Amino acid sequence: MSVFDSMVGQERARTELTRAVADAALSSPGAAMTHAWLFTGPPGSGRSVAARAFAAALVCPDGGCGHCPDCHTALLGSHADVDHVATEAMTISVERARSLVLEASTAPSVGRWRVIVLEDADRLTESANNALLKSLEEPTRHTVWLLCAPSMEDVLPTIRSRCRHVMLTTPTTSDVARHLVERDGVDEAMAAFAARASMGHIGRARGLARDEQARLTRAATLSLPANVSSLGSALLSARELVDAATERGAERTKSVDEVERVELARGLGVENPERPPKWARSEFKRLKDAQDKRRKRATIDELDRDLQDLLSFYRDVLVVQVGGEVPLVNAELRVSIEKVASRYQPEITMRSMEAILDAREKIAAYVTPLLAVEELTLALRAS
Amino acid sequence: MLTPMAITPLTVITGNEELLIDRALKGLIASAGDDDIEIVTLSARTLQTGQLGVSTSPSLFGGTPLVVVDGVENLVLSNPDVAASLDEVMAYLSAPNPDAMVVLVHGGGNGGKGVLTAAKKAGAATIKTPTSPSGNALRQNRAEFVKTELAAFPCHADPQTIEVLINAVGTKLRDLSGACAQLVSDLGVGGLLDEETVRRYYGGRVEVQGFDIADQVLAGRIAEALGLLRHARESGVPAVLVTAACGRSLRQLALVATSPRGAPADSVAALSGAPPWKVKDLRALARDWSEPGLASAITAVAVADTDVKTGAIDPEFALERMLIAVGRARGQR
Repeated sequence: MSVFDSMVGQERARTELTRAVADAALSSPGAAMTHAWLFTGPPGSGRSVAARAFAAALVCPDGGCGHCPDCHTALLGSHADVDHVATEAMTISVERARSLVLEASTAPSVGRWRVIVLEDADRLTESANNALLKSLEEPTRHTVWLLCAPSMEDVLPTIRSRCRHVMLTTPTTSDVARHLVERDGVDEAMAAFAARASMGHIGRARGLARDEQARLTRAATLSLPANVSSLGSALLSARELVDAATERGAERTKSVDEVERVELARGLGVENPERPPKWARSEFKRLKDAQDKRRKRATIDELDRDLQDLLSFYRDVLVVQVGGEVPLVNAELRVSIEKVASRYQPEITMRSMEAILDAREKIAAYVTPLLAVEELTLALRAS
Repeated sequence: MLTPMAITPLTVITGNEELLIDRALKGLIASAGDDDIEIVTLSARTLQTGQLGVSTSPSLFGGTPLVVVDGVENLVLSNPDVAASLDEVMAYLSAPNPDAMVVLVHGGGNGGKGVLTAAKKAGAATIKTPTSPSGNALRQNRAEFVKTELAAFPCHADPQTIEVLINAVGTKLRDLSGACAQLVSDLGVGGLLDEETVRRYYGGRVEVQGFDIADQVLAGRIAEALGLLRHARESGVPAVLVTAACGRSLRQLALVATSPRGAPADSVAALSGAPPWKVKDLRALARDWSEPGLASAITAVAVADTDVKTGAIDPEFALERMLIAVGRARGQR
């Protein structure tokens, strides 16, 4: 067993990282090891999983055995020499970056390496980027930076050029299915469905395989194309989609919000977090603002996932229309896919797909979600 | 000096409203009964040694000097920057010139109390002008002000009218006073100022909100909508609120328009998100709209929202283009 077992279908990256771990263990580290790494790969390919595994392997005396305390704590994010940075906000601020640089300059306390895992490196603000440059280029001897981003283009060239690049690819459907069966004990049929429906997104596949609610939500989203036949139904479908995403976003953040509020109250010695006294109100206000931001992003993420599902539907329609010999993502909806496919020309399907991509971009750019989705459903109705 | 005058060598005016302080000053000048008064305004903060003495000395050709010293509340002992000014004022107060008028204006607060006490000892008269309250009391205060202002002409207005006037003009006393004078001079003295007149005069300015713009454009009045847009933007309504309001109004209109003809107002209201009383109006509006028209109008709003949020183009242009597109969509069959 090895910590790298959690990487799904990434043979090349795995070989590279294993070599680096071996070289890192030498008394004078070999060429396969370096001090700054950039993990890129499409969402769900396991960037942060790979980075965590690499971090664990570096701090583990056995090169990532997967069962010693060092491996465990590193994977969980509580190892003394591994700093995890992930954000739930839209950006990572320059203040946060500066504090990281400070942490990066301290020597490791138990092992040989201090590892800083910076997930969402694409969310660094420009000034945060600049704050990191010096430390990325010449960190102290025992510090290793692990950055994660969707693609090379998502980080500044100055960051890119200072890192060694590890490229992860979208795992194949069979890789994902096998992983679900072996690691999560999902039965084969469900694993096959989840792997197919998630289009190689491991976390999403796991969610679909385990959670019935997730499957129902997905089915509801995919029923949208059949329901947008008129102006009224297009607007109502848009509202339903956005409302459901908002609800899920709130649901996802609710329990954390509550814990944070109670903790803040305890820290400040406030008895009732619902009605803080005057002197503590600004603290609670600040917390609430941060939570609102996080909820907003959770909603946007949910909505984006819905739109990806919709995109997969039209992709299938297109596959049927052009007689492509690749498996359908939504094979269980073959009947309604074929119905839509027979009604329109491939050009119109392409236009629908473009409209979906357009809506995704807009929502990511903070356009009012409901308006963006309405524009989309109106476009889908017309086609 | 040939004519004997009732000049007051020392006066203290307290208050924080420039207009009221000005009026108090005018009253002071009028009571002096001298039309040859030379007004000098000095700031208490920047007084130079000897400046008060020079300004209050009678000149060969000029009349009685009236020296206004503004901002006496800034003369606090603990601030070394104003030590020289403080000395200057205190020195003058110990020996004021009986042939000059000096007015100390104190804007409220605890600063400069020493100066006020010294002034009183030197025999200063005090004129207190009302200070403006903050928060909710301000509007009440302004309503009273407008009432007395109008009564002075005389002219009358009911509280509702006064409310509308304040909404339109704002809460600055000078603006309100100017508006009252303007309205009365056009209407004639002794009349009753009604709400309708105020709305006619300040029509474009009464609380323009995103929804007012949406209402106009939905009814096909593009020019009015554009006018209101300009005004709303001038008065600080954010661009995103305009797109949000237009989006919501169009959404309601579209859902009302596509609801079954005979459906009860309550269920249509629930479906469309419009308040029940508005459903009837929306139904009437919907007669001028077709489904393709509504669809392209909503798309135009979504495009404008994107333009505004991403900063792709100038927000004024994006909004104007949106209003024109929505207005045109109304005629679309």
